[in-house]
Amino acid sequence: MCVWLPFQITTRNPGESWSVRVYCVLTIVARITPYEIGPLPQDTTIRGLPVLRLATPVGTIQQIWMSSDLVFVTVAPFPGDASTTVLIVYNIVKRQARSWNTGLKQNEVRPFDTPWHLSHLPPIEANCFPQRFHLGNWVLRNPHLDHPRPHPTRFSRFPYRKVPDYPPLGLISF
Amino acid sequence: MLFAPSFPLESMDLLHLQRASLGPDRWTRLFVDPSPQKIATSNKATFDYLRFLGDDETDFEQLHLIPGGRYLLTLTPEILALVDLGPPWSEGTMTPKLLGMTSTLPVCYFKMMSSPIPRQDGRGVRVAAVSDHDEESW
Repeated sequence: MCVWLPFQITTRNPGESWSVRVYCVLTIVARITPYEIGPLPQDTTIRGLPVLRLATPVGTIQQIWMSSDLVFVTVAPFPGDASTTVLIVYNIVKRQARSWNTGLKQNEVRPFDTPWHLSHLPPIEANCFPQRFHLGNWVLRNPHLDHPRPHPTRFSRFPYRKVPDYPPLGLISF
Repeated sequence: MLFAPSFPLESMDLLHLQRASLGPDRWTRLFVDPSPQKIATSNKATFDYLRFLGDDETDFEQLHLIPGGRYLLTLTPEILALVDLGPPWSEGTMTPKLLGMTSTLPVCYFKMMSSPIPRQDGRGVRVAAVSDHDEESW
């Protein structure tokens, strides 16, 4: 499966002008599929939820974890690439994804996972995250756990410096 | 916090209820206590994956035991599956059952999955999986 981005080239023939629509192919490198299983023990259906496709070759997926309705993905740059690890947060209910360039090299990203006992926290609002986690020296904070803070719903760099949002990288239809 | 559907509460006796309710605390203490402890096998289950899936490839990418000890999520490049290992206090050899599975074939192969998390109603779980595409088939 490919993604086609249209652009135009104008060519002039003797006596007429016409345009040709040309397409550029972007490779989809991966797809993220959330699954819902249950209710158990009677119904064991494994149901696929809306898929997130990563459309540009930004690198290789390093980690994936879930919390509440969010899927977190870190994408490490290809070896030799000057870019840094990208964090993608995908809201499977709103079918929206956001990404940030963390400024971290691959070996600077710490493993992270969502503890089962924290995953029942209240659903998140826009830009709010269900719990605090560290990604290198980055921190996502849960307003339910970590208030009051200067920017309780911001994705911030420790200690709570505001970081600009980067435009989404390679995120297409969900 | 355990996954409640792991336990047939109506048929559990007092001993099993105690064991289930204190399970998380016993598990935590096993690792918090600095003294060296022997980690013993409590139950064994022989899971004939070949028979379940009818496939020669049985390399697991990942396994996740859902808290409660009964349900196991398995990921191979071809299949995401849920296995019922039976009640965690089963005596002797348990008989796992394949409860459900899904696949992204023929266009994708699973690479990894997240740890499972409970649904809001506590009756099911959610898990996210990454699949990669096969160059030839896209």
